[in-house]
Amino acid sequence: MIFFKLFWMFLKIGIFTFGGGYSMIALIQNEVVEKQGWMTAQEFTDILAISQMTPGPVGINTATYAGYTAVVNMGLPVWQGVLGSLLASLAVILLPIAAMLLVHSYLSRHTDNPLIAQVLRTLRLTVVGLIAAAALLLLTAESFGTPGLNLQFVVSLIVFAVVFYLSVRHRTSPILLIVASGLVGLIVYSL
Amino acid sequence: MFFRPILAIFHRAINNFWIINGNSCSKTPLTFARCLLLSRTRRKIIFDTYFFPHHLRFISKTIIAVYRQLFVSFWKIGAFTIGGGYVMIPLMEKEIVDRRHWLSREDFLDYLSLSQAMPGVFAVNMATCIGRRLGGIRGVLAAVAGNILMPIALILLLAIFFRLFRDNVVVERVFMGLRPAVVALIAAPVFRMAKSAKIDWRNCWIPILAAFLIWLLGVSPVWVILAAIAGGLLYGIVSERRKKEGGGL
Repeated sequence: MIFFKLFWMFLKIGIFTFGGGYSMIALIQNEVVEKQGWMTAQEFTDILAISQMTPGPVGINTATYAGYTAVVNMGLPVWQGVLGSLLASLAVILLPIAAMLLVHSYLSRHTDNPLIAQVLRTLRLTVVGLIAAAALLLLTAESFGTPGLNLQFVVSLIVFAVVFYLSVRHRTSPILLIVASGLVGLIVYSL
Repeated sequence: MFFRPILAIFHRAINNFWIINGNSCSKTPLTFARCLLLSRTRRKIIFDTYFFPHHLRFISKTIIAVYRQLFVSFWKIGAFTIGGGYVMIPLMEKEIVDRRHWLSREDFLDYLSLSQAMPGVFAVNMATCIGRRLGGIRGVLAAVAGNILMPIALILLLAIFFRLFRDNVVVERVFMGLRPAVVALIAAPVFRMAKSAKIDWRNCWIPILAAFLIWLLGVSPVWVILAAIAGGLLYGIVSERRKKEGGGL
């Protein structure tokens, strides 16, 4: 039953997400794209693009959209896709909320505990690697075009470099960058 | 001497307030001065519980107002910020600390670091903390529902419509252009977070190993996270013990 599987999968994703929505991307990608093969890397990239452009937490947006796409890709009707997406987003927040309610009173008194601080420091380091892995896994021929001297690959590399530079150095807003690169694509590939 | 009865009235009212909002107590007791700084609704609850102790319906109306305010505030925070949890921080601070006066700035920062440390979506964690403090479990429900309602509805609409237009030539070209940008936007936080995680030559093997395991060997990130927790605990215990032995000598 796909819905149980979806629910269980996103429960797992929710509780193992440390350090915000970007580390959740690595988890969702591993489960949905690599293990289950419910969607292609290209579809997943499109989902990420739309999740980053719409308001709200990126983690929730990605979970909702991935749940919908996974169900509809099986050939099930739209309303079941809606059900799948609601289940996925509910599952993602369920365990963290429970954990928060349980630990809230304890942890707010013990954040200076050296052991907890050490675990958090290690996790923060690991999450950097997790996000790097997510980005590396998205470097596919479907998103960038087949490597070589063709139009799509060269344009993709230029767009990648420019967006990366602007985002790291100047902290340009992601929306602006996504919209601008979409326009670049529209103009360049229409010529 | 003259002020004593007035102060007594306030203290009794405050006590009633704590009873009604069972688990909303802050770490520091509410003093008379802080009582005056409270938001209109909280003052109203204190006022009502003192002067109309039997009018439970009236009181519950003002408590419902807290749930409604939680919902509306977090709806705003969720619906008007694009780009994820950390973009929400300034808006949250403005809404929760400056406008509603629900938390002091120090408490807000405490909750911020707690929400970042706990697993899950950052914005939802924040909504859970604040909802719980103000209105118990129902407050949590109101805040979380408010926070995720709009994004989920929007995403669903977009998901349904995007499938219809996916094969359109124009849409295909736009997405061919923006896919590399998305990958770049996911790679960028790696370098920004590397600074805040204080990566240096001694510990840079941890993120590199994690990325390598997931990327090339296909290890599930779940195992990597579990290993990180275990490793952090182990290292913490060992260094603690070493420190104690060093102190003893």
